[in-house]
Amino acid sequence: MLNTTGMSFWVKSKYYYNKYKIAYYFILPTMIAMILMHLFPIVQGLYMSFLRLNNFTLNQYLGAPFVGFDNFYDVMFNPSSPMRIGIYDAVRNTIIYSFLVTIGQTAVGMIVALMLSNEFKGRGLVRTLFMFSWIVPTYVTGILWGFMFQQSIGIINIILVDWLHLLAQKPFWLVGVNSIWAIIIPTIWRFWPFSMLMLLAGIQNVPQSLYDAAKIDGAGKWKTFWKITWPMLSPVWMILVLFGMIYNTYSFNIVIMMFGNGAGFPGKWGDLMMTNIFRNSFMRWDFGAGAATSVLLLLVMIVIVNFWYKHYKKTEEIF
Amino acid sequence: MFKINYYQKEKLLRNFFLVLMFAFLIINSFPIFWMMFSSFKNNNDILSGKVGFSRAKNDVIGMEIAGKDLYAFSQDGGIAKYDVDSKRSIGGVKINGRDVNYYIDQDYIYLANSTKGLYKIDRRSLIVKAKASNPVTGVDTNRLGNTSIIAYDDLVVFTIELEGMNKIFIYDKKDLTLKRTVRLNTEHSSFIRSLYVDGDKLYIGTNKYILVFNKSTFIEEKRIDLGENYYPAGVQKIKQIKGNELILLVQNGLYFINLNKAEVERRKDYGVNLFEDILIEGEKLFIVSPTGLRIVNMNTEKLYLDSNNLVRELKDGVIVDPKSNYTSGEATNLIANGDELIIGSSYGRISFMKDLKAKPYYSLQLPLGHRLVMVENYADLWKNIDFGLYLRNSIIISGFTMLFAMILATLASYALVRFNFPGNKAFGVSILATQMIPQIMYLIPIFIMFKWISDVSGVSIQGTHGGLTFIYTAFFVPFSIWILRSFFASIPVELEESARVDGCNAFQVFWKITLPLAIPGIVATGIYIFLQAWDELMFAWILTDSDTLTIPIGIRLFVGNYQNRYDLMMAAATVATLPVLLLFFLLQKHIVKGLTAGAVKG
Repeated sequence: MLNTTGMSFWVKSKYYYNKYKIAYYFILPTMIAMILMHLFPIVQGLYMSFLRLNNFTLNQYLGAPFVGFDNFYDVMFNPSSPMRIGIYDAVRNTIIYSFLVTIGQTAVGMIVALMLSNEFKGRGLVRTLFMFSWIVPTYVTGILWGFMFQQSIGIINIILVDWLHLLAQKPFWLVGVNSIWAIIIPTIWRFWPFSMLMLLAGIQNVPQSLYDAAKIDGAGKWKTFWKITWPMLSPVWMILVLFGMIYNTYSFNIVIMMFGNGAGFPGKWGDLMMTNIFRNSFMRWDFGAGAATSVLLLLVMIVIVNFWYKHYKKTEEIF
Repeated sequence: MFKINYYQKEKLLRNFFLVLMFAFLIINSFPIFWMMFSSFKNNNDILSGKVGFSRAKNDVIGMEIAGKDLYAFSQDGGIAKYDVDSKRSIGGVKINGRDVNYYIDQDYIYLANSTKGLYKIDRRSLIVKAKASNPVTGVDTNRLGNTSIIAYDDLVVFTIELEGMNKIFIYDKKDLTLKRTVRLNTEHSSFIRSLYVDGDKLYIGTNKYILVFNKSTFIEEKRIDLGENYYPAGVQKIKQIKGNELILLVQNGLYFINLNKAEVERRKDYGVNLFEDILIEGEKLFIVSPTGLRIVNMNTEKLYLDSNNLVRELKDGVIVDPKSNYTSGEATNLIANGDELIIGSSYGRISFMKDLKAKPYYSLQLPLGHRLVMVENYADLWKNIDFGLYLRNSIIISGFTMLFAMILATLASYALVRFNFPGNKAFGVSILATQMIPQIMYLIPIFIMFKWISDVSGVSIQGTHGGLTFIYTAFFVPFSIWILRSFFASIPVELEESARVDGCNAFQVFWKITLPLAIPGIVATGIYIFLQAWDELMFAWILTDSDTLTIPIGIRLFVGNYQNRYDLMMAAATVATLPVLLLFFLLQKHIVKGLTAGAVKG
């Protein structure tokens, strides 16, 4: 490689450009797309969180009145702001939802992956059939489970109450406290096969010699799992948990389509951050507050991801 | 206590887990099954919480006696033929359909239903001689109501009850070819309920008027306003014309219409709440209603008999012993045969009465109705909403997104893996960083930016295929790059080096050596992008207009317009799911390989 010390910036740039010309050409389209559709909107979005941007000032674009941190204050503390109403419900629900769904989908995925890691006839087909719930579009998942969760005509209540007699009377799933379960269960149902797929690939990559050694040492199944499989899979499940956390916090489709099939309000126990922001932005036309809430959400997410990333880096190099 | 060794224990345990797994497989697949199953159900079944398919109702809609033969017509499209004396079945035919009606003449039976259309059936052999499809197409079958059919001279007149539909269809009697359509001059809110022919006049009963037409020229001659006190849904039958008096059967009574004055002269209810059918024999009027049989003098209203021997509860779908001598309370039809009275009722019961004060002395049971498996839900879906447009938009947008994102991601990930150019690391990090930004944070500025652009320059990006495709491409590229990186990394670098030695330039190496090897990974990524784009809701919600709506938004809008049509909703959900399910099933090997490449790279 050329010793570049002492060269002027332009000479250096020219040298690198000539050497990696094709690489720069290759990333150019992606760069343009990302600058236009990622960088541009993000910078604008950050700026918009400081603007009073609603249906009256929408036409002024970035010239809307600058209000400093008013939007942030409104969202978090101002009891008379309509944006503040329900935001803590949404925060609480999002924490519960994101936490339980991530754990749930990883756990179910792990259990099924372990079962599928044994050889048996028709294993490929069974895996494919398991994957089907992951292929169902999320908006269909919302509609479908919303339909199944109906109080009197839903099949879930018919099975639980009329057939199995597990409950005395048919509960309301889409109203009240139960709705948190009504959004968690379908999300796990929709996303666990992806975790399973990744974990299964990971399990099949664990060297058999480790299991043989454990067997010789007299370790049981339980112990083998926790001492060998689980640590060996940590790069897989850690990335799954990380991405699961991010995606579930930003979950939107299933919840919005489940309540009134996209026309209703998810209620005190079904509202998530994304549905809350979406409602306030595009139904109440308060874009400034919506942008401010998303900025807050992003800040929290950066902290979580940063924390997780540091932890992850100890296990495996990501780049 | 059994003693089992290690291997037996292992085997038992493994089988136990296998059983558990298959049980879970069934539970996990159940929602998908339920979606498809429900899409074939009748919406009324869904709304009443019925789990299986219910049967079509086989209520008797009419009976006819010709010599020794009794013809019975049921609501599910069945025609049964009985011998009146021995009460034995001597034939039958069934044409499944809804909203069945019939007309019978000397030689033929004309059967009409709203699902399949018109049939001409030979009266003796019960063989279908000719048929014609329903002329009213493009309408959700659930919106269609009673059909009416009548045959005279060499014509068959057919009409169907539908709000805003004001046409009667005239067919050739011989082979049921559509000869002409006559448009009635009626309001949008009127329904055509019944047809009747007397002399050279054709009477058309709507819920607001009786229209009198010339039966061969189809020129309107007279219009009789039923007035305000009619029962809107209840105009059932134009029963009889006696002199210049027309008797109209409505649920709340008989309407006597003076044809000369063209107005309703009087209404009589004879103390009956709900009229099902009447029989007029001179002065005597037989009325069947849910409370039983009542015989009165038509003019003096003198009561001859009030019998509630008919009232019995029958259950749906139950075949009652033919010899048991009772009928359902919901009598729908009656005819006379000499001195005996034959009453048809719901659940396909036909009862014979001689002594009118006693119970029926004999009962017949028509066959059960067919199971209502509603394949037509899918056709209705297309008729109700512009589903074809949504499907096309979804395919266009997802397809082009897949294409563009595949190209971009392939190039970028190759550059990232193979060239350690300055900025490589920053680019890689920024790609991952885009994944943790909430989508709505892009959506708000993009929406406002697009609005501003169209305000300033007049070019509207919002609501175009291109705009959405571009946004989707930009959004799905980062994750695709992330998947493809590990795929390119798994291709040995030595291959490229030897190609370089042979004199290929950098682009040729990529094009001829690496790209062919990476095709499986690229395809997998492409499918993954397609699935993602197919699934996208939030951007499509805001950035589409009526011409570019995708399936999720189409379904969402549809729900607002047709509340509680769960059957159509499940059909729509099935149509939205099946293409991607099929795509996945066909290409699952590639997809699984491509997606897991990252997980197993260590």
